Amino acid sequence: MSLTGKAAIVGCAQYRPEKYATAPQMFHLEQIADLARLALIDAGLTLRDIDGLAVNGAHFNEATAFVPAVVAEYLGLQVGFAETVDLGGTSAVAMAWRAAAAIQLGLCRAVLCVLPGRLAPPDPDADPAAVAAAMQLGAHSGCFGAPEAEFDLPYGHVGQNTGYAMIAQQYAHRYGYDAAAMAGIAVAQRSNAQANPEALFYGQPISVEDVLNSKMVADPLHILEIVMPVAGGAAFIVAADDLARECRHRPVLIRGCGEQLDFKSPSYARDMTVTPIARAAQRAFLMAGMQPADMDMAQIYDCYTITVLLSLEDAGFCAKGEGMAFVRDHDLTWRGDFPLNTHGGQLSFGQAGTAGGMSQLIEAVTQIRGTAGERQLRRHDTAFVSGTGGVMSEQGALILTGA
Amino acid sequence: MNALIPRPTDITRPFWEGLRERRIMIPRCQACGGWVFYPRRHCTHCAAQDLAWTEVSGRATLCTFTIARVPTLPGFAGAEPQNLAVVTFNEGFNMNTALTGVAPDAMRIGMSLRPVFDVLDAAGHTRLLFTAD
Repeated sequence: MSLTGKAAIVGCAQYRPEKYATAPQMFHLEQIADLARLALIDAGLTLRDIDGLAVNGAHFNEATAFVPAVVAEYLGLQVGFAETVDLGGTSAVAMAWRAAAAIQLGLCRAVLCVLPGRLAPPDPDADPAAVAAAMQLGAHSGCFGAPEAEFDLPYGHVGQNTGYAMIAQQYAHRYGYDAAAMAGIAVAQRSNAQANPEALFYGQPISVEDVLNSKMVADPLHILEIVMPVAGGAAFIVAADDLARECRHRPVLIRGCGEQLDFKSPSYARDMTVTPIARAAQRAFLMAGMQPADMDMAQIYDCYTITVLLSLEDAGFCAKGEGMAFVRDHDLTWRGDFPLNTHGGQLSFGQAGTAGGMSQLIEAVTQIRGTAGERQLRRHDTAFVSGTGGVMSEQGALILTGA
Repeated sequence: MNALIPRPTDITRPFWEGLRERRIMIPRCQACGGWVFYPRRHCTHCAAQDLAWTEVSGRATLCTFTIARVPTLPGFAGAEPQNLAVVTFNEGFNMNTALTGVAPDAMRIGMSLRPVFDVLDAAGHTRLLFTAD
């Protein structure tokens, strides 16, 4: 069974990325209500049109269970499809195809997909030390009986930086490494951000030398190759094609999808240089009946420069081991021959938690609609969008086309 | 440096108790011969629930590494840089660990390693580090 373009992305909303210290604090429920309202206005739909819901399952601030029911009630919705998605940075990609599949099955006609990314007002009765300790572990579990609590934390293996760095080191050992080419990914995306006033690093271009001279966090990753966590949040609406045609903008059809989870820690991968996007992208292209060469743009999840490099190779945009040459040989900016992360990527747009991965999807929609302003691509009918969660643990791919 | 003390479970306790005795005990499947790390009660190769704790030498090679120049947890502040490593045992399974007694610029993927039993506290909690062989 395939997604046959029966569902389209018709509305989007995204908070401008901001530093946590200065961003408004809002309950997740309030962020969802606000983002839903903005996405409905963008689509030209009303709350009554929404009959499906996809929200974050992990780290939901006001509920640890029954999250969709809590959210639907708060919004004033009754839905025929309710889903929590707990796939980290590929949650947005995962929501899109789940929504499209539910619509194709006839379960619903319009699905709100939403990921809050601002901090909630602090619980006045919470123990600040416990809150700080939980924040330190990030995506790791410190729970009794959690394998990573027992077999990672005692050695200092925690968080994403060192995991991605170790993948990069293994890649360098196998295929070689060009630090300047890797820095070039961050530089091209920063260049794109100069045409996006919403980006966190708008007005702050960088050079390859800036990247190579920036602080080494975990070899070989410099701090300018590592995404900055920010406050934000985003939502989009997927609708049945007949409803989509009544909306305000050019519908963006979901034509292909794939998803692959291979491990939590890449230490246990059979080969950590072959990433899950390989299978996910292969399925997505097959389903859409398209090839990497058919894509007018690539919006590739970019928590780190190495994530982009491996995704380009494993999704089939270049051969394995040739990623360094590929990024050297192409202009990756919106002006160039291989437009990549035209909003600046999360490296320059900012990463609002799991909503960061929604920035890639929303940029693809914006470009396909033709409303990207200064950075608008001349050819903008097809897009490859990827998501990545954990440490290359779980990845998803979408093929989007303009109606 | 104040590493987090591992909290053994009923499933994993023989591994940690083994380290206290300077022995490396790993579950091995009696049905298919596969090694299972981290410890579980089922074989991740064939799903049999027929594992036996089996001693290994700890000889290994460096699979990959990074030099963490920013402390990864507050307990590691003052111990930077951290030589974080993934090692591949001669038996074929991987383990997250750290290297000790190896200069950061001397770490090479593929280098031969031997185990170091690192006692963490007066109670004798022990973790498994590695060094150049």
